[in-house]
Amino acid sequence: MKNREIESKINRAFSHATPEFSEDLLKKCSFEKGTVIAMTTPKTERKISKSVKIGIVAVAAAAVLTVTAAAVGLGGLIPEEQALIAAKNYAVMTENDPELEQALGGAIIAGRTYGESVEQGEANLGLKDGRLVYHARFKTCGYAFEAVVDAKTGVVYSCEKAVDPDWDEVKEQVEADAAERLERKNDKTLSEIAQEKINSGEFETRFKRHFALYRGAAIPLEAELTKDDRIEITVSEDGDTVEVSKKLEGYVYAAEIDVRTSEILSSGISDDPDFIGERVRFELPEGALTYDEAEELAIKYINEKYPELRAFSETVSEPMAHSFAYLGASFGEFENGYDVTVSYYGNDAATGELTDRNIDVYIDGFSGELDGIVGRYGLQAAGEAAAKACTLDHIDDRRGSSDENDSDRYICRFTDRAAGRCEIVAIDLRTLDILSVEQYDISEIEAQGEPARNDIPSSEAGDGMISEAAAASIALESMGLSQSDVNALRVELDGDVYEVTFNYGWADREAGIYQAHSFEVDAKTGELIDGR
Amino acid sequence: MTERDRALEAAISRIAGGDKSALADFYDICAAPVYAYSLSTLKSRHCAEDVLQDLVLEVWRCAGNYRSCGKPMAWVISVAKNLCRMRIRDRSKFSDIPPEDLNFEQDDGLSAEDITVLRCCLEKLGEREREVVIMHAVMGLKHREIAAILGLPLSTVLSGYQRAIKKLNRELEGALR
Repeated sequence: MKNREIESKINRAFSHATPEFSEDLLKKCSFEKGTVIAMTTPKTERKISKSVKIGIVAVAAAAVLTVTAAAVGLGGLIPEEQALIAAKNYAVMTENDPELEQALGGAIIAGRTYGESVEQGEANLGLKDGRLVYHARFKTCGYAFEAVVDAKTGVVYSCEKAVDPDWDEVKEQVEADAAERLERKNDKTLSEIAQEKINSGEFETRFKRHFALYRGAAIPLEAELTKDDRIEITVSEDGDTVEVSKKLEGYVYAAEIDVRTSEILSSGISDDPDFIGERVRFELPEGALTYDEAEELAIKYINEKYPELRAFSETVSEPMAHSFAYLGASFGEFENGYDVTVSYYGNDAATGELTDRNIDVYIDGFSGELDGIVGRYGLQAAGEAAAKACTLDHIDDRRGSSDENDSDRYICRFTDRAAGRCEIVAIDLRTLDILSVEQYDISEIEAQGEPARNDIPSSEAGDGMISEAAAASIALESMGLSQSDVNALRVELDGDVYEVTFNYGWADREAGIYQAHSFEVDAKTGELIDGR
Repeated sequence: MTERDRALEAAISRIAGGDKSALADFYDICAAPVYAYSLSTLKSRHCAEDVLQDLVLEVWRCAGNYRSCGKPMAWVISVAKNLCRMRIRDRSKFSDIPPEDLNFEQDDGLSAEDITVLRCCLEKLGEREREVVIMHAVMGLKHREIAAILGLPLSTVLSGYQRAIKKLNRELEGALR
C-alpha cells in the first residue's frame, strides 16, 4: 500500500469512529461566555478576560488586606511580592475544587511554586479600568493562575486559572518537595541542633578527619585545618544540612553534612578559582594503585562490560583504535578510589569524521575492584557502537544514515544503496540489548511509493500546478543545492502548497544526526512561501 | 493556509462573535481530528468523547482569545492536549481503563476495515508514533507543525512517521489480506 492510501484509511476509520453529538453541544453552549485563559497564547500577550470580579469575596479581601496592610504606605504601592502573596492566598481561599484546594494548601503555603520565572511567581504593574493593578501570575498543582491585584490596597479583583501544560513533567518532584518542606517546617529543632553542633565544633572535626584521609600523608592537612578562621560553615535553606568548606593549596574542600546524624552526605575537591600559583600534586597513600594500574584496569572493565565498544574501536579506520585514560586529581574522592575517564576516539568508519566517546570508570584505589561504570555519554556511545557494529559486516555506504535517541532507545538507520538495502537498528540504552534489526529492500520501499532517498514521485502536475520535481528544485535552489547534495528528499502536496523536506548538513555531528530542512512552495505560482 | 484552515479560522472568528451556528461548522472540521487525538492519547472511547465535548465548550468560551497566526488546527490541538492532560491527571494509571473500552464493533457504524485500522493504530504503534501519524493523517498537520507542537526535531518526526507507516503497512497488509 502507498503512504497516502494508508493515511486515507486511517483518516476514514477515525472519522467513522467519531461520535456525533453536535446538537447536544449546541444546547450546552447557551450559557454566558466565561473566563478562560488560553494557555496557547504567549504569556506576554495573555490578558485577563472580560469579567473582573470586583470584590467578590469579602472574606478573601479582608484576609488579603490583613496580609498586605503592613506593607502599604500612605499613597504608595504595595511591593510586587505582597501582590503575589495576596494572589496566592486568594486562590487558596476561593478555589472550589477540594482536591486542588488541598494541594494548594500544601504547595503554595509551603512557600514555593515551580517552573521558569514562576519559582516565586511574578507580578507586573499595569492599568485595569483606570486603576493601578498588579497582574500576578503563578503556577501550581497543574494550573496556571493569573490574578488582578489592586496595587495600592492589595485587594484581589479577580483570579483565574487554566490548565498548565508543563505540569506532567514536574508533578512528582514538586509534590515530593512540598511534602518534604512541610515536614521540615514542622521540625523546629533542626536549626537548634545545627547551631549547637557548630558551636561545639562537631562539624569541623568531621570535616577535618574526612579530608585528612583524602590527602593522606602528603600534606599536614590536619594541622592546616585547625586554622578555624579559614573554615566556612553554611546552614542550608531547609536547615537539615550544613555545608562546610575550606580553601587550601589551590583547592576548595567542601562537604555536605547531615545536621541530625553528622554523617557526611557528599564531599568533593575542586579548583580554587582565586588561587594564583602552582597547585600541589597529591601523593598516593601507601598501598594504593598507581595511575597506570588504574588506567589498565579501567580499560579491562570497559572491554568486559562493553564488548561493542571494542568492536567499534577495532573497526575505525586509520589512525585509530586508540584509547587513553585521564585520571582526575581527586584520588580518594570516591572513598579512596579512582575516577578514570576513558576516551575512545578516531575516524568513525561510518562518517569518516573524527569522533570521541567517553566512559567513566570508578575503581577502588587499593583493591582495584570495580565500583561502577557510569556516564550517559558512555552508554549512548556504546549503544551507537553496538548498532554500528551489528551492521558493519555488510554495509559500506552509510551516508544516508540518521541516528536518533528515542527516550531510552537508540536508533540507527543505515542505507546501503549499492546493496539495495536499508536497516534500522534499535538499541536499549540501559541494557545495550539490540531490540530490533529491521531490514528493508530499497526496491520494495520504492515500489510502495515511498522515496528512500531523493526519489521524487513522478506524478503529473495537476491543473495549473507545478510538478513535485519543480517544487523540489525551487526549494533546493533557494539553498544553492541540487538533489545530489541532499538525502531523504520528500515532496508532499497539501492543498495548494507543496511541503518539501530533506536532510542536509549536520545537526549533531557527534551523534551522526543530519539537519532536516522544510520548505513550503506554492503549488500554483511556484513561489517559496516559507522555509526553515 | 489551506482551505480547511481558512474555514476553521472563520468558524472560530464567528464563535468569538457569539454565533452559535458556527459551532456546527467547527464541529464538522474538528471533531474527527480531536477525537482521534484524544482516543490515541487516552486510549478510552468514553474519555475521548468527553474531551471532544469539553473542547467544544471550551472553544465556545475562549474563542475570543484565539489569535490568528494561520494555524488554527494547531491551536485547537493545543487545547485538546491540555484537556487530555487534565484527564490523565484525574486518573491514576492508564492500566485502570477496562480493556473493553477500546472494543470497536461493526454496529457502531464502522466497517471491518475501519476496525482493523483503528486497532492497528491504537495497539501496534508506540505512543509517539501514534501521535505523529494521527496529527499528520487525521489532523492534516504538516510535519514541521507537528515538530513544533511536540517540541521535537523535524528529523525525529519524519523518521518516526516513516517507521510508523511501515509498521502499519505490514500490519494492515497482513490483517486485510
